[in-house]
Amino acid sequence: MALPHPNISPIPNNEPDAVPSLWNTRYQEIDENFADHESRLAARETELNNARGGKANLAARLTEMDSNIGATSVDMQNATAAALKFALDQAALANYSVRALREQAQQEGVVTIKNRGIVKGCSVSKSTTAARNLNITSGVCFANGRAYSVSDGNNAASVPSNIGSSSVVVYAYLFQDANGLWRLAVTPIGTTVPDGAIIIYNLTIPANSTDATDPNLTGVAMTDVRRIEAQFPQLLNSPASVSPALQTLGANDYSLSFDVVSADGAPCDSRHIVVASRTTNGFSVYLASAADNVVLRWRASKLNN
Amino acid sequence: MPSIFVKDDLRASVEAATGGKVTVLYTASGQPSYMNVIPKFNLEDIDAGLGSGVHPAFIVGGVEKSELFIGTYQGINKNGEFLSLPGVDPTVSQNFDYFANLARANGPGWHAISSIEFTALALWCWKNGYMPRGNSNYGRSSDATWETGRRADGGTPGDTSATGRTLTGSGPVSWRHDNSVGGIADLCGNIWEWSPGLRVVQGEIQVIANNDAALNATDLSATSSAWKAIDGDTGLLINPTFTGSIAGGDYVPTTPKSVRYNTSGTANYTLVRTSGQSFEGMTNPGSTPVSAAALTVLKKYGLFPVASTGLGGDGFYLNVEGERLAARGGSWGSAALSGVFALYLSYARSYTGTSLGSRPAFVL
Repeated sequence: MALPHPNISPIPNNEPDAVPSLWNTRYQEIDENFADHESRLAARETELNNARGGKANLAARLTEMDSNIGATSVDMQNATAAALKFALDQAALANYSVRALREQAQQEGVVTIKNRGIVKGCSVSKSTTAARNLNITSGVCFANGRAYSVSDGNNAASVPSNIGSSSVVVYAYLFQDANGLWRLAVTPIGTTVPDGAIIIYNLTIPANSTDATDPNLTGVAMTDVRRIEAQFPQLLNSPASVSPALQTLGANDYSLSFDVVSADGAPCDSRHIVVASRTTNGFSVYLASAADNVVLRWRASKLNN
Repeated sequence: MPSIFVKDDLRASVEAATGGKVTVLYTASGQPSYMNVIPKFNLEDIDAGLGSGVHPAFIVGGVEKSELFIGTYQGINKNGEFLSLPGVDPTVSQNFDYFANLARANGPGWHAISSIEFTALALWCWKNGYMPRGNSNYGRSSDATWETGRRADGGTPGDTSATGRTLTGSGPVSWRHDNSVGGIADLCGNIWEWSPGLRVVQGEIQVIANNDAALNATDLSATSSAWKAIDGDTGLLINPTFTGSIAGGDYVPTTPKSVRYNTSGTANYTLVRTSGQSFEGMTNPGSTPVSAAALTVLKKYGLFPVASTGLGGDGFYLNVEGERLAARGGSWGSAALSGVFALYLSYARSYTGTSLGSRPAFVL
């Protein structure tokens, strides 16, 4: 920053000697230079004072700054990064353990056990009096935790034609009608049995089997798949079972616990669930109850996995 | 695959305690009901006067059943279902249709004990040589007053100042139908039991064939076509004919030769007994009496005494005006007229009373 008067004006040689007006001009220039110096000095002092940051002097301020700068040094940054990485590793380990606990060491699931079948009778045969029909003998079936009588019937259900070029499988089943009576029916090709039904026969229909080509169902193979429980509800020879899968465990020495959420028609709690087998990737349970539609919540625990 | 014994502690304990005579069945919503298993029996094994073949109580919808399940106890309404439970105050003060529908709410096969089922039990008791006693005198047996049950109101046996019902099955074994702890309780006395399948309309006897009253699909209404009259000559069940209507109060039976009840007289094909007298005293005094063949049918249905004595003096009550539906067994106030052969044909369909309930039954 320049002075207002970097050079004091020289006294001209043509002026008379010691004339005040001659000197006053120079004094004024000198005063203005001093004023400029003063204002600039004050500004610098103020700036320096502010730079102290509340410290007694600049040295203290610089010491403090040096200390702060030292705290963010490369070493410190490395130490901080190492600590952060360690913390993240610990969190990852915890998350992994939680996931392992939830997905492997303690696995849970819900399954529904359907418990339906035949007590006696309910044999199905091919009709000889109507095209592609089935007859059924009287009997007793069980579902919903209790037994029901089933009336006999000729031509009780018809078997669909198969106009395709390959054989198909359909199912003969019992279903409960609106009046609560159990009746015979056969699924259409390509469909499954309705919910609540009891499958009793598989019917394999060969290709091109129609009213015209096979009215007596001669080429239709009937496979008896009735689950017969003659001692229902006291004793079950082929108890209903389910086999939930597990995320593979290290060994099959896990524990199982069960909670029966709901069941239809007969007493059923965890005591009625019998573990039949345990493998590292699943287990099987039998239902020792007359109940149907048993909704079972299970838990497999192997905390030392 | 191993055989598994079903772990039903209640049923297993009941069956074990009664030698299998009583089991536990479950309703549609899973409520338990104590039921006696009654194996089918032949008529000729009871009495030659009943004919031969399986008793019609075991024929339901044309299908012969191997057994009936009769409520061990008079029924109680729990959660909209009709249950047979020990030690409870049975449901009363409801009309015929209420009990019929309540029992059917248990699920297919469940019904209020039918008249012919009650009759089968009565005939079996008679043949077995033991006529059960029961609460016939305000909490005690009128025939053996030291035999008491627990009165529902906590009252004293014999105190006639209050309702005399007893808790189901709370009496001694002599109040069970076979004189054992596994027998059916309170068939005699406590409360009359609405028994579907039998009615009189202006004195004409009408039944529902065999035990079809047990079928859920059977129409038990006043105008149902399931009601059949009995031909007084052949004993066949025939379609009743009539003029007027029950609802209109002008029903007049016109069925030729149908068997009828009356309290006096000698009309053709009319069985006679004064209301409030013993059932076994019924006579067949018609100018043209009911034939032997028809009497055989009537005995099977519990409408004419299988013997003229030895039926315990059980009562017969009759009202020949309008439709009167059957109740059986007697009540706490019926005294000596209570019993397994007791037949009440005075209640209209809409009648309710504190001594009138029913009992659940089941047929598979």
